[in-house]
Amino acid sequence: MVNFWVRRSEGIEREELLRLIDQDIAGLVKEKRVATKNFVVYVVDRDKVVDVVKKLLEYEYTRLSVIAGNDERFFRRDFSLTYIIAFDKQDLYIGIRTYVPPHDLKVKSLAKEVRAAWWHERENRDLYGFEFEGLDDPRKLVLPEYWPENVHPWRKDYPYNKPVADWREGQVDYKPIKEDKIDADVVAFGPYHLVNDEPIHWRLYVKGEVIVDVEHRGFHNWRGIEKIAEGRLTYNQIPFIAERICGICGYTHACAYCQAVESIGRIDIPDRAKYIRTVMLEIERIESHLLWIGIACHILGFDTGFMHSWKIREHIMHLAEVLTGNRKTYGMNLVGGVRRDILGDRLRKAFDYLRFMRAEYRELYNMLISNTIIAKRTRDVGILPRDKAISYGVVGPVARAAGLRIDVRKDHPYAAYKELDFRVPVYSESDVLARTLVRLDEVFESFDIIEQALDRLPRGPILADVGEIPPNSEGVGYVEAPRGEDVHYVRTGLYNKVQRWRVRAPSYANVPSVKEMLIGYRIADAPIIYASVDPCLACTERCIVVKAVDNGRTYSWNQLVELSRKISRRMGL
Amino acid sequence: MVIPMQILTTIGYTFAYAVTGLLIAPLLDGFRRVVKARIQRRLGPSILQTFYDIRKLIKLGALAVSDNSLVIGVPYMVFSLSILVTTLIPIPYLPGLNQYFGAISLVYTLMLITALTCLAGLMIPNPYSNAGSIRELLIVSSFELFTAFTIAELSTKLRTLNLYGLATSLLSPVRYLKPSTIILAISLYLLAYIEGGWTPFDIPEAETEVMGGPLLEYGGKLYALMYWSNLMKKYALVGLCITLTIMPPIVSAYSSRLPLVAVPALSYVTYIVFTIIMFSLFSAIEALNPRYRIDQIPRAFLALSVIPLTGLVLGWCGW
Amino acid sequence: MSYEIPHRWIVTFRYPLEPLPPPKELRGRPIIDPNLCIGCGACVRACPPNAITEEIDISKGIKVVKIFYGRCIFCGRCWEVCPEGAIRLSNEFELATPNKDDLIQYVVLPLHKCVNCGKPTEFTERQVVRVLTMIQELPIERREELRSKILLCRECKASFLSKPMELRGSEVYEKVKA
Ligand code: SF4
Ligand code: SF4
Repeated sequence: MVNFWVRRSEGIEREELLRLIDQDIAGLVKEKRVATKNFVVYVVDRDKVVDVVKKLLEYEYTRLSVIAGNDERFFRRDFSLTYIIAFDKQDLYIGIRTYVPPHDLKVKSLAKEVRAAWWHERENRDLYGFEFEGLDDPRKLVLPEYWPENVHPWRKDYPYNKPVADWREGQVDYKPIKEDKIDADVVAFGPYHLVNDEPIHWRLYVKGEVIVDVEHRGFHNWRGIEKIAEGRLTYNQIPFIAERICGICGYTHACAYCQAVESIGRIDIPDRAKYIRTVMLEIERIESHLLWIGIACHILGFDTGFMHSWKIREHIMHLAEVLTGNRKTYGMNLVGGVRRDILGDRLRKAFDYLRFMRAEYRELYNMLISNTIIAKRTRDVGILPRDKAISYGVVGPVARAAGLRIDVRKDHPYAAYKELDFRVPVYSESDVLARTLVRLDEVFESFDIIEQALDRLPRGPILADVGEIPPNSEGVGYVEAPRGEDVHYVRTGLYNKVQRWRVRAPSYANVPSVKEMLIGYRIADAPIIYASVDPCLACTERCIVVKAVDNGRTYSWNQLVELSRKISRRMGL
Repeated sequence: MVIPMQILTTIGYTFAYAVTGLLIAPLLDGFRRVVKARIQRRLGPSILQTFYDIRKLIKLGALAVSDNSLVIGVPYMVFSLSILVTTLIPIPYLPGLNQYFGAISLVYTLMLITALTCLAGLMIPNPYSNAGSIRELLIVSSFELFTAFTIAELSTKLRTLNLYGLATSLLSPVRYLKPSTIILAISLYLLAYIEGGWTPFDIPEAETEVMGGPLLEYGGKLYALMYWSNLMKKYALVGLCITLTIMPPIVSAYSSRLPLVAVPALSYVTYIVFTIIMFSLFSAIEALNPRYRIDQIPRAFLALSVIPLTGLVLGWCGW
Repeated sequence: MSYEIPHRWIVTFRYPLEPLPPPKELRGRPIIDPNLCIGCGACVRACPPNAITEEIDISKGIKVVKIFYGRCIFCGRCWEVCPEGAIRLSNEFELATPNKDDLIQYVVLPLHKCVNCGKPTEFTERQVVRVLTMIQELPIERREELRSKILLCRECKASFLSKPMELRGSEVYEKVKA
């Protein structure tokens, strides 16, 4: 058992805490490396790693953030697994690393006790071939069912552009694990469902209209963006592909990546660049939250709310276009700063827009807050208990709605957030309504932040001189994306390339917890509950291309139409 | 053989009713779209958009998902029944089929439409279709009480249940501004709104929850028929309210002063104008409301049926 | 009509039916000015998604700089790195087309021919001109030395380089004069 959050850590300084941790795990650690100013790596034996992680998670405000596997056979003949734990009140990330020899890739599983490890372990099993002893979920996570068993695409001896053997042959169907064991009806919610903007499959086991169990299969869009970056891009090209991880919060990915590389290269970016990044991040947050508000209204059948919220969103997109040259995918970031300055008349225009949008947003806010049906449909729906929230390591609005006071902007200040004044809304009800309110409130804060940042925009250059990035070092970049903490783990390699780039998008932490939220509620609630975590599968699955499925068994659209025409003809219609 | 004049006019008027119903239902939907678009501050589509949609769907041909003849037959049945319903609207001075139908049979026809839709929805092996049908049945059954009270009120008030009789009996100066009459009017509009499946009561078809419910698996021409029928049902319910509430005072105001030939035409025009206005009003209400959840519905309906009940009691007391 | 703060009730546009110019800041379709491009390939190396490629066809004696908008992400890196200012990001954004070939811009540049053997080299004539103007400021000996390297193809350069220094410069100079 893990005793989550039993030891107080608030108020303890970072050095003090590191000393405490050193004492706690004194006998277990083989080596300690300080990678960057707030990223410390401990190397442990593989049979101890689970204990160490559990011990660290006893501190208050810790989360298992990422488990990053790596193929280090080129350096030291081993594979490695790094469990990155975030200490939110000390602005600290701790990596617990263990080396595993390639002939015996067994590691103990954490997933039963720490739910946050569930997806990470399955992903590492798919991509590197680790075996997690005690992991009771035999399904693949990211790879498709037809993928051959012993081919692991993340290993360095697998080239980034190598196709798998023809996947049409011997195609395997997805086998649900619970279907036989449960006596309930099955409702397939997705992969294609009206409210799913992106494909995800929730298999809802229902009795009447009440959901009794849930199974998830996603990653239909998984493409392996990280491998492309590791394979063929240089440092300064990656921000652009990072931005394309997600169509909504792409800029946070670009920022997180750049921050990771900057922390490795010990680069201090100019103040003006910091402020510009802050402005763009907040513009993106407003844009994303407005998008979410619109979708939520649409799901509740309230299209007027949807249209009004997207109307305001259109203004903010236009502002982004004026400031950066594009509505989305701003293309602003390079390692070391930003590319485009905010100059005089654009600055004035931005203030005009902000004043106008704030007024419009207040109208929308009042309209939504005063609508009784919205409150009725969201109150006490999709509750995620606090202990579950901690175990799943949820982040962002989902965590803040569950009463967890975490926000990367406050806890791990980056860009210019340290110098700006804003509040972090926290609710404790942990239902859909609370999550909605967190987002609604955050938009106001974002308006404040942008105005402050534009007001105080310091003078100076916008791009720092970037020297050589030291090879073979590592760092983490973190950004509070609209959906929560977005972490990038970067390890540099030779020839100006990254050796390992692990993107942990916020939805990757949040979506697994939807399972807990759904059970006990009705089918009618499923769409809004699922939407309440603001799932962004593009991020989670790190994809950019969707492949159409059309083989013997899967009918294409035209075939389907033809088929039903045939029936109609036979029926003489 | 000489066909009596009355039968000829009945046939003529019935035909006119049916054509009106077929054409005005998509047009009204166009109005609905434009009103909603304006409230949502959009330009919105053209007023004829629904006609274009239906044309496109019909062009696609019948797309059947199953060779079960019931599933395929239902759109046709529902469509003809809906046309029947539109001919039953009792516009004063235009006696058509509605002379031979009572309010109860109208309610039964409407229920038959629902029942057929649900039956087809339940036959199709698709969980969303089934869920939608079950929701539809749940709603209809929990709304029964409200409907029953309203009709009882209507009959006690006007001492007839013949549809045309209802409309004409209102023409003789009744006491319009009595509490029970006003409550009756309110119940009628509520009935039209809820039975017509306007948001927040469009739960069976709720797109984002059950993806169109019982209509989910229909495509092409079959869907066009279902869609069109749905529009006609909406229109008929609104039309019924108009003829029973707004029309009588207005028509009785001018009917005595005009030559008898002009009265039906004027009555018809008045009716159309008010239908469009009322439809737009309903659309505006619809635009401002999110959808209820299915389990909140039965309780809400139970509470709502207090309204016609009060009217009934007041009517008995002679207020 | 263009997009400003809309102080009107209806906020949408009849967009495809009437034009909707984007703000002037938009990074739209990058266009290479064929009169300015020297074929240096800086944009090719900077372009993150490899939308710009270069091909050298020695047999035809040309270099083709090809930009394919299907891959372009409109980041503007090419425009930043181009030494000649030949790339401009236009305001065009309506690039949809049924024909993929519409999405390609070719810039064809003749390759420089070696002054010694007459075979095409790997760099373009304009590159050579550009370098020749660039080295104008250098001291004369250095200029001469560079000039000799620039004008030759790789093989000739190699054979010249094996010779003593003084000989090289003058010999090439003679050839150029001739
Ligand atoms: S704009 Fe960017 S993607 Fe497009 S050609 Fe230039 S560098 Fe390449
Ligand atoms: S960088 Fe400029 S000059 Fe060089 S090849 Fe590209 S467009 Fe031509």
